[in-house]
Amino acid sequence: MNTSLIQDQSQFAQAQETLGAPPELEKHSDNSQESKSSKKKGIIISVIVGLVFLVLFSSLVVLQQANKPTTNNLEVTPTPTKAPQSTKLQSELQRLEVLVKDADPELPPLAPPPIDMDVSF
Amino acid sequence: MRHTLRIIMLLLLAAVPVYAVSSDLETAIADHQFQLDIYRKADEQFQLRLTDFEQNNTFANQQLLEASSKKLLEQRDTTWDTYWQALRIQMLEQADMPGNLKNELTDAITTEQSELKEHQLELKTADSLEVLRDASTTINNKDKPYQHLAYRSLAAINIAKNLTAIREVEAFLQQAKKTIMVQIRDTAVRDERLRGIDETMQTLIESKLSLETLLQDDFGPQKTYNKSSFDRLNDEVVTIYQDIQAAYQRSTELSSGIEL
Repeated sequence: MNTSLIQDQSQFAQAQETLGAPPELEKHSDNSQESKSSKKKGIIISVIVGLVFLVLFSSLVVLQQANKPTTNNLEVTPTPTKAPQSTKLQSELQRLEVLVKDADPELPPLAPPPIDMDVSF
Repeated sequence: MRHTLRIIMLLLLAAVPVYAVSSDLETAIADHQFQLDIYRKADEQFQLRLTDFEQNNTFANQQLLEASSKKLLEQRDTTWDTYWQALRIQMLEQADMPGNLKNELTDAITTEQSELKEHQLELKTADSLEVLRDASTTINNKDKPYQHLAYRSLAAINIAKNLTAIREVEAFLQQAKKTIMVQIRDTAVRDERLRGIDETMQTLIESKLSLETLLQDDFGPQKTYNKSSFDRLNDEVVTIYQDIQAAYQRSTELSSGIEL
C-alpha cells in the first residue's frame, strides 16, 4: 500500500518536472495583470465620461444664463407708457362727451307725472 | 409730504359735495318713481270702487269709495311733491341758467309745494264725499298751473344744459388752438386746423345766440306752457343740440395728435 503511494508521488514529481509549473498558477498571474489594466481603463473612461458630463452641464448652465433676461436688459427696454399729456387730452374729451350727451333735449330730464285723471264723482 | 397730504385732503373734500349733489338727484328721482307707482295702483283701486258704487249704491260701497278716493288724493299730492323736489335739485345744478329765471322758477316750485302741504292737511280732515269732491276740484284746478310750471322748468333745464355744453366745448377749443400754434410745425396743417377751430367756434356762437333768443323771446313767464308748446320749443333745442354735437365731433378731430 505504501509502496504504491511512493510510486504515485514519484510519478507526480516526474510529471511536474516535465510539465513545469501547474497551469493554474500561470493563469492567475495573467488575470491580475489584466484586472489592473482594466481598472486603469475604467478609471480613464469614467474620467472622460465625467469630463464630458461636466462640459455638457457647464455649457447648459452657460446657455441658460445667456438666455435669462437680466435686470439691465429690463432697464434698457422699459415698458412703454402713455405720455401724461395725451391722457389729459383723452380725459378732457371724455368729460366733454358726457356733458354733450347730458344736454340731449330729446331725453327730458324728468317728465311731468301723468296725473290728469278726474277724481270728481 | 405735508403738502401732498394737504392736496389729497382738499381733493377728497371737494369730491364729497359733487358726489352728494348727484346722489341727491338720483335719490329724488327714485323716490318720485316709487310714489308714482303707488299713485297708479291707488288709481286702479279707486276706479274699481267707483264702478262698484255706481252699480250698487250702498252705504258700504260709499265708505269704500270715500276711503279709496282719499287715499288717491293724498297720494297724488305726495307724487307731485316728490316731482317738484327732483326738479328743484336738477335746476339748482344748472350753472348756465340765468339767475333771475332760476330764482323765479324755484320760488314758484316752493309756492306749489307749500300749497300741496296745505291741501294734504285739508284731506286729513275730509270725512265725506262732498268734502272730497271739493278737494278733488281744487287739485284739478291746480293741474294746469302745475303742468305749466313743470314744462317751463324742463325747457329751462334743457336750454341751460346746452349752454353749458357750448361753454365747455368753446373753452376746449380755445385751449386746443393755443396748443396747436405751439406744437404743430407744419404750416399748412396748422393753418387748416386753426381755420377749422374758428369755423367751429362760429357755429357754437350762433347756437348760443339761438338759445339765448329762445330764453328771451319764447320763454318769458307770460307764455303759456303745456305739452305741445314744450314739444315745439324742444324741437328747436334739438336742432341746436345737433349742431353742438357736430361741433364736439369736429373738436375731437381737430385736437388729434396734440398734447394738452
